[in-house]
Amino acid sequence: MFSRVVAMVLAVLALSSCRITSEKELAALKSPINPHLAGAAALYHSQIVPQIVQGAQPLATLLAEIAAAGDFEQACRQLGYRAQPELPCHFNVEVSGEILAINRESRNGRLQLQPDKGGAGEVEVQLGPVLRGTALRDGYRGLNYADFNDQTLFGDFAKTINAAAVEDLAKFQGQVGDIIRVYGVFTSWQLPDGRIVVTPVRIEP
Amino acid sequence: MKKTVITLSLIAGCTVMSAQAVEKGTIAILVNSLDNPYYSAEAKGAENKAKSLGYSTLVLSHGEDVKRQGEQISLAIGRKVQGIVLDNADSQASVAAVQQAKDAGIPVVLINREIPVDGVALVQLTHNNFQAGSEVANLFVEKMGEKGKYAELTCNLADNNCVTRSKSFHNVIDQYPEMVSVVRQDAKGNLLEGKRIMDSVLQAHPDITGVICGNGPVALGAVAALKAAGRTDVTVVGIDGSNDERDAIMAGDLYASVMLQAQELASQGVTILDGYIQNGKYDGKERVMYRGILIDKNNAKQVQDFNYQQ
Repeated sequence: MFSRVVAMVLAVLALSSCRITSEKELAALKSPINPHLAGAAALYHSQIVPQIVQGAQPLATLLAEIAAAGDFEQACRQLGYRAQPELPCHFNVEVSGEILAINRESRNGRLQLQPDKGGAGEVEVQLGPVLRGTALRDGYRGLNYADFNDQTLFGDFAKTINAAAVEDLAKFQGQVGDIIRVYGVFTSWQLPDGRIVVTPVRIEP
Repeated sequence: MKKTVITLSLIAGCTVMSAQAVEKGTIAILVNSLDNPYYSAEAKGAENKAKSLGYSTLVLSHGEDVKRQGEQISLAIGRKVQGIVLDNADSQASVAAVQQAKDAGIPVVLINREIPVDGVALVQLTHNNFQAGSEVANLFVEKMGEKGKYAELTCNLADNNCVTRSKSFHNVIDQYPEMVSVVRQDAKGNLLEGKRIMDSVLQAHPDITGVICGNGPVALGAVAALKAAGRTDVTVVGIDGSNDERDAIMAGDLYASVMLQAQELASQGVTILDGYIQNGKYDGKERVMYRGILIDKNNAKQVQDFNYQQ
């Protein structure tokens, strides 16, 4: 009799420590959301944008300094950022000028800018709603691939950051002929000698 | 007399090489199928580097068979090799085999395919498959004018690298609502399967205008099917960057690919292994990625045996 009571008490205790979870909760327990991925949009606003804006170098001056350095790798170390060897060098820049053209037909919309200072050549600014590349993720001097160790997660991290940027850029209503100032990132493997494509984080009138 | 001197020189050279090899021991190089140009190139890159550093080599192909890979690892342990360079048969199922070698005191350098565990392999060198897939997908969408029906032929969904590539394709393409996926099939990474599937895709969906493929052989299979059907209006892209893909790009049959630096990656793996064998330590990062190089008509001629000549 005593042993039966003990067994019942143990069974009740065991069951009371169980918790019924929903399918959604079970899925989350099986594959928890990476905290960096979950916080990517907030990170974009609180860290990535300020880092790019505060570290932005005037494009014409930057290009002249890269050219003067002679050795691109040295210029990258001094003026840019490369988180890992398999990535191009990332440069935070600001450039102002007149909008020559805007292409909104492509989902990778872009505007063409005539920089107002000499030496910056042809500049294109991505507008979205699709931003190509991972410049905003890879130019950030904070998290890198080692914080993920999973290429797909790292890719999703970039996608979320780009989505946050696109949401901001959607407010841009500039027209051809407007004078604007752009803050953003461009990447290169070598001394830039052609069109510069900037992925922006801020466009000011 | 002259002939005798040459013969003696050759014998002396061989003796030096052999003594050096005996002194430094053997490196085992285990890859997938040597029939595939990619795996053949990485085996060649590892073998050449190992020999140049004074090792003899044991090159084996496991053909993505985990059991056979296990037997080959046991063989390498039994042969008391100095180290193993491994492109593994299956990311998850290979952890135990790598651990077995480590427990036997044999360092393992993983190339191409990673395992989901840290601290077992000496180093894991891989390609940035996500970047490769995204870059070629961007070009694919652009060439298709951001709209149209397309097929996806994956390389082998049992391989994590292929899964990553497929995800990266969709990471890009799915942002274009007028790009319509009509079929997605696994061509198991080989040319004949790629051709067979493409033949049936063309029967079922004659209105497709694009095919995005998970690797080079599958892309070449798709190209063969399209040629046989007389179709020149379908954009085909792939990933790997073999000489055959290069030639297909230059001929206008394949629109673009991404060249993976197979030889460089394998060679670097042997260099790291040699450093560890000589000094007993490796201070670098465990996981190292290599970038793929986007190849189209403008730069295809710079591809040679998975090396990109500047």
